[in-house]
Amino acid sequence: MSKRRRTNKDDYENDSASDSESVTPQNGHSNTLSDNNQKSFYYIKPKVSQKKSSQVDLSSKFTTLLSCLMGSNTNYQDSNSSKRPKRADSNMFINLFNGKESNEQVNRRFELYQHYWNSQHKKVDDILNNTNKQLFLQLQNFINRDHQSSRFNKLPLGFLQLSSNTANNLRILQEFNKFLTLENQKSDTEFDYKIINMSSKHCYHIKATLRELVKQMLNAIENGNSNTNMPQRVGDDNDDDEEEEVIDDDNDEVEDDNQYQSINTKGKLQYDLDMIEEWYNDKYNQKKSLRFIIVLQDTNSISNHVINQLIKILYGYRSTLPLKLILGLSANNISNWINNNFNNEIRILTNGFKFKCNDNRTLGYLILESLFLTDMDDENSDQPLNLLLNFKTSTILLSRFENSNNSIDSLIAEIKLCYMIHFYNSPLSALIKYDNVSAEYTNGLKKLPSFKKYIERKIYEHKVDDIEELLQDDNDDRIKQLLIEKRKDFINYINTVIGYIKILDKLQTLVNFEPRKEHLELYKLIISNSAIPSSSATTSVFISELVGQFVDSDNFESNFAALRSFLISYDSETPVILKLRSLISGSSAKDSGFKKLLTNFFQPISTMESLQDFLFNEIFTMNGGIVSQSSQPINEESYENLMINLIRPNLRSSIELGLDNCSTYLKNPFFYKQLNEKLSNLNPIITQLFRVYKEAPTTINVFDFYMAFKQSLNKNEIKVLIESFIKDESSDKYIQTLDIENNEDDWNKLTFAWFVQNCQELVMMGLLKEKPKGDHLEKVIWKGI
Amino acid sequence: MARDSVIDQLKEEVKYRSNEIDLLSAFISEDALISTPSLIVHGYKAVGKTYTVQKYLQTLDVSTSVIRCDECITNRVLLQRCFNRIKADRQDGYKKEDGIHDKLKFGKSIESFYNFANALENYFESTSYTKNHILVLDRFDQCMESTNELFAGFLKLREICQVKNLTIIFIVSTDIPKEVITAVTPTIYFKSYTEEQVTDILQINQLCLFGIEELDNTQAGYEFWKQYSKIVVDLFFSYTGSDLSLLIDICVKLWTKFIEPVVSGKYQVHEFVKVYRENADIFTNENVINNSSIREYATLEEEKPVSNENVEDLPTHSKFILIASYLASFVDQKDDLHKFSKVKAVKYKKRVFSNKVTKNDIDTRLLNPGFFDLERMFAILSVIYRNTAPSLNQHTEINLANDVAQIEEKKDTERAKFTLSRNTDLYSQVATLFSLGLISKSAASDILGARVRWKCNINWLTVETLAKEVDFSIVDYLGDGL
Repeated sequence: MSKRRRTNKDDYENDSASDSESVTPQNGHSNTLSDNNQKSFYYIKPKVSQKKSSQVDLSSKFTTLLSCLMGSNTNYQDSNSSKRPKRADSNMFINLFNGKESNEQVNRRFELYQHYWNSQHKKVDDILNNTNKQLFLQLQNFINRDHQSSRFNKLPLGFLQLSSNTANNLRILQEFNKFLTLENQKSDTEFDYKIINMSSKHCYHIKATLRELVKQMLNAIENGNSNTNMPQRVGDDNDDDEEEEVIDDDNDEVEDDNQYQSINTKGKLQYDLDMIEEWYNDKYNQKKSLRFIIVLQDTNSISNHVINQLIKILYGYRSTLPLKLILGLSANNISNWINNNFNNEIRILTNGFKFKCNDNRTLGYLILESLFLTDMDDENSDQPLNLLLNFKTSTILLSRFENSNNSIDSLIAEIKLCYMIHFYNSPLSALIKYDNVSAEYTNGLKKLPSFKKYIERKIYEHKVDDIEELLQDDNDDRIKQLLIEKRKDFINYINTVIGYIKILDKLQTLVNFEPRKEHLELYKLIISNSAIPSSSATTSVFISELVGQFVDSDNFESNFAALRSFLISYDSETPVILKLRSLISGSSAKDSGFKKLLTNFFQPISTMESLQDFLFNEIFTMNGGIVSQSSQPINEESYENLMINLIRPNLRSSIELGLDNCSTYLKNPFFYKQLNEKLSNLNPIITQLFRVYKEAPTTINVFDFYMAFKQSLNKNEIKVLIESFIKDESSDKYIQTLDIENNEDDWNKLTFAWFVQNCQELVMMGLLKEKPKGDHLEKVIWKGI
Repeated sequence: MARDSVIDQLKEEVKYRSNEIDLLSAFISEDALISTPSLIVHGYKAVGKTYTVQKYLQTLDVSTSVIRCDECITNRVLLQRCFNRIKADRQDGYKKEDGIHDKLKFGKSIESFYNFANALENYFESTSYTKNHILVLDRFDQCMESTNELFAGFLKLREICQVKNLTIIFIVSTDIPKEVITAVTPTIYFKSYTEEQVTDILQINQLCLFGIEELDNTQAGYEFWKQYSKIVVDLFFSYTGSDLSLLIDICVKLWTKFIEPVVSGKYQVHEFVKVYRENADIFTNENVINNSSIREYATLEEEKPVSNENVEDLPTHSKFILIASYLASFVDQKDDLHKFSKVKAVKYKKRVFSNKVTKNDIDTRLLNPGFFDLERMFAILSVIYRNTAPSLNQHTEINLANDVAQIEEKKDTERAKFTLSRNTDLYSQVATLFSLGLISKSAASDILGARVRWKCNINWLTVETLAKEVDFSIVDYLGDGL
C-alpha cells in the first residue's frame, strides 16, 4: 500500500518542476470550462518534459478531447462547430495503427466525425425546437393578456404540467426562456418580458424566496433580459447561492447602492417588493407593456406553505405590478395537486390555467427514428451513408431510455458519445466514405471479425479460390472492390430493413397491436435475426400474431384499404415496398389467400442475414466501444459498452468488487509476481479491512473491529515486507526502527495506525459511518445488493 | 346634526352593522383629543369588519393609512410600511420634501419597534403634524411573523413617545393574544351574520350580469339574481357560514353555467325554477366547494379527475423502486426473510383468544407508512426485480440448435447476480422520486447518513395501478402469505 503511493507520487514529482505548476485549476485549460471556475476541484496535470514530443502531443490532445466532451455535454446546444473556440490543433484524435496512421488520415476521421455529428445534431435540434412551439405560443398569449381588467381581479396562475423527468422539465423551461428572450429582441413587439426563474433551492422560506425574487427582478430591470437569470443546468451552479444562506437578519438591506442605478434601493429591505412597485410607478417608460414572468421551476419540491405565502404576497401586487406566475409542476392531475397543497383562501384568490407540455417519451423515440431509421439514398459522393447502431448499442440505448433514465439530454449525449467513440477508436471508420484504401487499411479489414466469419463461410462453401484471392498479401484491390460492393449492399440491406419496419409499424397502428413495438425495437428484431437464438423465434411469433390480427380483425376491409393507400402514398423506391404494393394491388380484401400472401411476404425476414454477420458491418455501424472480452450476457439489461460505462459508471459494483478483489487494479499477476514473489499473498490493508467489515454486524464496536482486523493480518508476511524495507537504506527512518516481532507495542501501533487510516477511507467512500457517541461504527451498505 | 345624518346614511349602506358603527363613532372622531389611542376590531373572517371600518373612516375628514398586514413577511416590513404610508397619506397640506432626503432624515432603517416609535416622533415633531391620523392594521394577526409583541408595542405607543394624534385600529379575527389581553383597549366585536342577513346582503347588489342588454339592469334580471343568490345561500350556508367572500365566489363561479339556458333562449328570465331544475346538478358538483378545478388554457376544458398520482411516464426501474418502497413501508421488517427470500421461515401463529385488537390484526395498508432504511429497500428491489422484470424472465424458445439447459443455467446465474444498485442510475432515480414527492425521508437528516429513514409517499390505489402496469402481483407480498 505505502509503496504504491510512493511510486505514484514519484511519477508526478519527476515530471513536474514545481508543485504550483503541477496542479492547475481546471479553468486554465480552455474557455469552454469557464463555467466551472468556481468549482472546488482541480485536475492534476503532470508537467511533461519537452523532450518527449510525442507525449506532449498526446496529452494535449487528450485534454482538448476531454474539454470538448465535457463542455459540450453539459451544454450541448451551444456546441455547434462555429462557436467552438478555434484551436491551433483542431484535431483532437490520435494516430492509430500504433501511431502509423498519417496525420491526413487522422484529420479525415475527425472531419467525418464532425460531419456526421453536426448533421445529426441539426436534426435533433429541429425536432426539439418544434415540439414545444405550440405550448410556448399559448404561454405567451397567457402572459400577454391583461388580467388586471377582469372584474374580480384574481391573480392569474399558469400551471405548466410537466413530465416526471426533472432534466427534461428543466430543458423545456430553458427553451421557454430562450423563446421569450428571442421575442424580446423582436423589433415589433409591444411587450417587454422580464423572466424570473425560481427553483426550490431558493425557496426554503418565504423571506429567502422574496429576496431571490427581488434580486432577480432588480437584475432584470438593470440589465434588460441578460443571461444572468437563465436557468442553470445541474452542475453549473455557482457558489454564490450558498453564500446567501449565510446572510443573517442584520443584513437585510440592499447593500450596494451603486449596483442598481435606475432603482432607489436606499434603506429598502432585500425582500421588499415595494421598491419594484415604486420603480414601476415612477420610472418605467410606458412604450412597451412590461411583464414580470415568475417561473417556479420545480414547484413539487417547494414547501406548500412557502408557495401559499408567495401567492398571497403576489396577490397583493396584482393590480400594481404586471405579474404572471407560472408554476412548473410534475403532476398528472393539477386539481389533485391544488387540493393537497393550496389552502382555500389561495384557491379563491387565484384563477388557474393549465398548460400541458408534450410527452417526452414519444419525443425520444422520434429522435432515435429520425436519426437512424430513415431511407438511405444511393451512394453518391456528398451524401455518405448513415451510420447505424448495432444490436448491442441500440439495446443499451433503448433499455436505458425505457428503464432508468428517460431524459432527452442524456439520450443525445449517449448518441453523441457513440459517434465520438466510433471515429476515435477505429481507424477503419474513415472507410465509410473514402475509397483511398491503403495497405494498412486492408490489413485492418482482414482482421475484422465479420471478415473472418465471411472467410469461414467461404470455407464452408468450398470456395478455396476466392479465399486465396482475398487473403493474398498483395491483393489489396480485391479487398477494396469488396468494400465498395458491400457498401452498396449495405444500403440495400438497410433500406429493406426500414421498409419492413415501416410496414410492420403501419400494421401495428391499424390493428392497435399491444404491446406496441417502437421502430427501434422492430429494427433490433429484424437485424438480430439469425444471430440471437431467442430473437428469431420472437420475431416469427410477433409477425404471425400481427398478421393474424390484421387479417382476422373486424374492420379488415377498411384496414386493407388504409394499408393500400399508405403503400401508394409512401414515397420510396425500396424493393420491399414496391413488392408489397404490387401484391396488394393484385389482390382484393375479399381474397381468402391474403393471409398466406402476407405471411409469405414477411418470410424473408426470418432468413435475412443478421447485421452482426454482415461483412464489414464494423465500419457501417457503431458499437459504442468495447469494454470486456467476456462473452455477451443473455440478459439484455446487463449489456455494456464503453459509452454506457462512461455515462453511467458502475460505481457501487466497482467499489465493492475492487475492494473485494484488488487484482483488477493493483495486483495484476502479470507483473506483480515478477516484482516480488514472496509478497504475492499480501493484500492492501484496505482490502483486508473490507473483508473484516463484510463479516461484521450492522453496528460494530470499534475495539472489536480493531481486534478482528489485527487478527486477520498475516504478521509473518508483513514482517518480511518490513525487513525488506529495513535493508533499503533510503526508506523511512521510522520503519527502520520497527521491530514487530519482539515488540508487541510496535505491532499494535502499526496496526492501529493502519486501522484508523483505512476506517477513515471507508468513511470517505460512504461505506462506514461513525455513531454519535464514537464507540461504535455503523455499516452504511448491505452486502450483495 | 349633519354628522348624524351622515351616520344614518352609512347605516343604510352598510347593512346590519348599525351598532358597530355607533361604537366606532363613539371611539373614533376627527379630533385627536377625543379619539381613543387604539381600538381593536374583532370578529370572524369575512363579516364586514374592514368594509365597515373603511366606510366609516371615509365619512370622516381625517388622514387614514391602511396596511394589509397579511402581506408583510416580517415585522420590519410591517413597520416600514406603516411609517411610509403615514408619510404618504398625510393630508394636512404639508409640502413633502424630496423623497431621498426624507428617508435619510427619518427612519432610514427601521429595525425594531423602538426605531419606529422614535422615527415617528421625530417626524411628527419636526414637521409639526398635529391633525389626527388613523392607522388601520388590517388582519394584524395574519402577518407572516408573530405580531404579539408588536401588538403590545403599538398599544403603548403613546406611552413610549410624544405622538398624540395617531389612532390605531387593529382588525383581527383570532383571539386577542395574552400580551395585550389585560390592557384596557376598547374592542368592537363583529357578530357573524345570520342566514337571512347574508341573503339580504347578497341580494342588494347584482354582482353578475347576463351580458345581454335586454336583461341587464332590468327588474326581471334583478329578480332572477335575487332568486339565484337565495338558492346559493340556501344550499351552501351550512358550509360557508357567514363567510361572505366564499358565498360571493360561489355565486360568481356558478353564474355563467347557470344562466346558459337563459342566454341561449331556452327559457325566459322569469322561469327561474325551470332554469334551476335544468342546472340542479351543477350545485352538487364537488368542485364548487373545493375550488380546485382547473381549466386547460387552450381549450378552456376542465381537467378530468384521475385517481392515481404522477407515475405513468416514469421509467420502468422507477416504478419498481416505488413498489419496493411501498413494500418496505408496509411490510414489517421482521417478516422480510419470510416474504422476500427463499428461506422457509415457518411461523406458527399463536391463536389469540382475547378480544383485544393488536396492530398485527389490522391490514397494513390502513396503517401509516413506516420508515425504512434505503439499503433495505434496495434489497427488496433486487428481489422483486429479479423475479418479475420482463427482461430477466423471458422464456427461452425451444431451439434445437442450442443447448437449452446450458442457456437456462447461464441465465439463472446471471439473474441471481443481477442488481440494479450497481450503477449510478438507481441513485439518481431515487433522487428524482424524492423531488417529485413520491418518496420522502425523515426530516432534517443528512441525506448521505446511514440513519436517514425513508418513507413511501403514495397510496394503495397508485401502487396498485403501478403493479398492474409492470405485471407484478403486489398482493402476494403484502398479505399474510402463510
